[in-house]
Amino acid sequence: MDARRFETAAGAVSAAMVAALLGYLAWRGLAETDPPAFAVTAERVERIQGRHHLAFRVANTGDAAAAEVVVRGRVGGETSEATLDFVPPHGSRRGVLIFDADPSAGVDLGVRSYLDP
Amino acid sequence: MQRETRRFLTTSGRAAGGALIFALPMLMTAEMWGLGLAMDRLRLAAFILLSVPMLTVLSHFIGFERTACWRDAAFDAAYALGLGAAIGAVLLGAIAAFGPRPTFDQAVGQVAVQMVPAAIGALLARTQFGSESARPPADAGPPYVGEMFLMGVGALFLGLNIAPTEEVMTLASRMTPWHGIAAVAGSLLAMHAFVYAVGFRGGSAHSPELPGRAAFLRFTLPGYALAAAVSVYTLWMFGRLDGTGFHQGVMAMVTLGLPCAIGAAAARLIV
Repeated sequence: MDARRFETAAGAVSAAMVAALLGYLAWRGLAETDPPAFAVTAERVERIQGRHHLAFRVANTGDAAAAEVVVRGRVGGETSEATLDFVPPHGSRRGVLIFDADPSAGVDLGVRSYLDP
Repeated sequence: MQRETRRFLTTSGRAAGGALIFALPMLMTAEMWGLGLAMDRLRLAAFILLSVPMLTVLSHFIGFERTACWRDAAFDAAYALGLGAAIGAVLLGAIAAFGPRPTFDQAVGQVAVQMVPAAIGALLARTQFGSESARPPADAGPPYVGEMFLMGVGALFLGLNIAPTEEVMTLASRMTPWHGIAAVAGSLLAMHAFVYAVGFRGGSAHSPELPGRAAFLRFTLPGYALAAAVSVYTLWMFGRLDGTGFHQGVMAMVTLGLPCAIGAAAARLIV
């Protein structure tokens, strides 16, 4: 293939990709956006140095990002809290809460607050 | 002192200077120290491995010596990486970036993440500080694929400087899709201004000056696509895309795409 045809082909493919990107952004710009919404799931419990480490995952199912997301867990009368810097929209972040009591029997997990970044 | 030895020392000094200039902003960025500690080790290994062919090709185009064969170019690339590691280790140590009691693994990680940008700087030094012209005369111009490669290196260079910072993800989450469109349009406009000003040429020998529209199609658009790809590569490398949803990932690509695009277009000025 001669050089000019190759360069034009590269240009055409790139033009299609940039058009797709702009189209996607315009579509998202016109679409309604939902505020942050969270789903907190307990992933596993590990016993480390006599304490229970509960690994959790926070998924943000909304269309907006959330900062300083405070996750609180309660096992019986005991509470533990973690603050996540940032949870992107349709993304997730992980963390660990530490309890004296064993959370395997049942833990109340939830997001208590967040900031608009 | 023998002439050969003196020449080697001069070139090494020049390369070390280049590595310093290009790597200092990253050596003095807290996020880079953190990345050295926390970055996935396999990904870090891939980052360095993938840089070897890139540095080899870069050295072939512009390295310390006019490299006659690929073996010389590969040697130069390895030398640049080694030099980059040495400079990274000395500087990180001098500014106490390792922290009070670094373990071996931590120190190695922190130096390793700095090696690649420092090595690029070492190779670029030749054209920045070199008294002798490293490039063939301007009217020859590198072929199209070479031009694209240099754009990729330019994009990587600015991308590596900015991708580790928190600001990219903060901006990406603040920007609406309309800001995103403006960023893409702005990147393309700025790139095209560079492409036009620096006078990119086509591969065909009979077109000394391309008309604006053809240059936009053949250089600016592929250049932006390349810059966006480099943006995604560096973001992924530094773990910025982990647990980040599709939309946020696209916004981050567009945000970092702006400096990458400028780096790509300006590569001809720097390199």
